[in-house]
Parts: sequence; C-alpha cells; structure tokens
Amino acid sequence: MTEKAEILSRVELIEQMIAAGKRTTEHHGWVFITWGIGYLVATTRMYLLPEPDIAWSVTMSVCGVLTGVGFWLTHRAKKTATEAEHSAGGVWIATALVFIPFILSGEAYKPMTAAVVIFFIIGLANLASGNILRWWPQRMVGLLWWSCAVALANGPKNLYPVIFVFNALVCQIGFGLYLIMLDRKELHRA
Amino acid sequence: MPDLPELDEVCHGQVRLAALSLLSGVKEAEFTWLRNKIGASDGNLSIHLSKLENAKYIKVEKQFVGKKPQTLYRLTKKGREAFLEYVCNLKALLGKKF
Repeated sequence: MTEKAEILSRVELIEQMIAAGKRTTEHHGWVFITWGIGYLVATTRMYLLPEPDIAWSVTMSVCGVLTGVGFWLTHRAKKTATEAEHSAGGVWIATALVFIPFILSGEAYKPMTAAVVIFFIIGLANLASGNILRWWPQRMVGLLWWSCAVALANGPKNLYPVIFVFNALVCQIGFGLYLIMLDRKELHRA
Repeated sequence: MPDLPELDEVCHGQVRLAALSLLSGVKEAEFTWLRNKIGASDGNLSIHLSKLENAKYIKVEKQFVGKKPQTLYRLTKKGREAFLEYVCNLKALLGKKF
C-alpha cells in the first residue's frame, strides 16, 4: 500500500467509525407501542365505558410508570449512548416535564383543547428528535402528530375517535413496530 | 519545504484508530459495543485497548451490573487531544505531500 493510499484509508476509517458511532443502536420502539396501546385503551374508555373523565389521567399515568420502569431496566445495563442519543433523550425528558404542570392544572383546560396542545407538543418533540438524529421518518411522524392536532382543532366532533385511533395505530404503534424492525436489522448486521 | 508532521504511532494502528474515532462521539462505551462496531476479535481488541490505556488516551472502568461484569471505556482529555492532532496531521500530510 502506498503512503497516500494508507493515509486515505485512515481518513476513511475515521469517517466510517464516527458515522457508525452516531448511528443509534436502540430506537426504543417499545415506548411508542406502550403509549399507543395506552391511547387506544384511553380512547375506548372515554367513548365506551363509564367514568370517561378519568380515562386519560389513569391510563397515561400507568403508561408513564411503565415507561419509567422500562427505561430503568434497559438502561441499567446499557452505558453506551451517542451524543445525538443524549440530545434526543433530553428533548423527550423536557417534553415529559412540560406535561407535569399541564396535568396538575386539572380542569383549567377543556379536554379537547388539552388534546390539541398535547398532540402539538408531542409532534414538536418528534420533529426535534428527528432533526437531532437527522432521520426523516421521525420528522414525518412529527408532522402527522401536527396534522392530527389540526384535525382535532378544526374537525367535527364525530371525527375525534377516528383521529385518536389513527394517531395510536400509525404514529405510535406502527412507528414503534417499525423501530423494532430496524433494531432487529441492526442486530443482524452487528 | 516545511517539515511534514509525524503521525502518532499509538493512534495510527487501525483498530486503535477505530476505537478512538468511536469513543470521540460517545461519553463512554462498553467493550461489546466497541467490538461489534469495529468487528475485531475479543483478544485483538483487548490488546489494542490496553495500548491506548497505557498511553493514557482512554480510561477503563470495570463494574458489575447485577452479576455480569462490564468494562467501560472513556476517551481522556489527553486522548482527545492526541486524536484531534492526529486528524490535523493527516489533513496536513494529504495537503502538503500529495
């Protein structure tokens, strides 16, 4: 190997490794699926079962606890995280913190107003995370959340359950399954 | 003609350079993560990581997660500076020599 070829091979190696290090190895598909199922359960409770007022607060609290426990279990063993993963994680932690005063404000907001704001914030978090990871599927999911927020704000009332179910199936469960599929692919490649 | 920069021998080895490049983008990394990304065998990677540790370019931390041992590697300040200088020297060599 000539000296120039050797130097070029080292430059290529550095670029490859930095790119490989940036690729996230874990996409947390289970989190999206958990919340998607939570949305479906809450939607069903809200429209079909008694006590619709507590449907969202109880179900979302359960999802929050499950997510916390799940992260604790998976990250107890995993120490490696890229800077991009840390940044995207920060976006989601900030999003969760935004909801605390929002939830504590109780009935200050009408349920549908609250839903529109929540959909908008989660859409924003997906877009921010997609931008940090430079990953267009998550940006698309963010835009879908915003579309759902706009539909909730302007659409007729009888469309609400359809929007909730669509959101849960596509933006959360569908996206979560896609992420799990990606993780499996990467596992095979490693 | 200006002097051409010398390349740091510790950084120049392929496996060591790969490890430094990977560690430059993360806070810390597990041995298995590095091994999977680099594609080296356990023994080969261990030898090269030891060389980096002896040069004080990386810091090693061993711990137990439950009953499983875990080895974590982190780039030191000296290691980061050496890696950056190596990259600058590579650029300089490419620019001046060829």
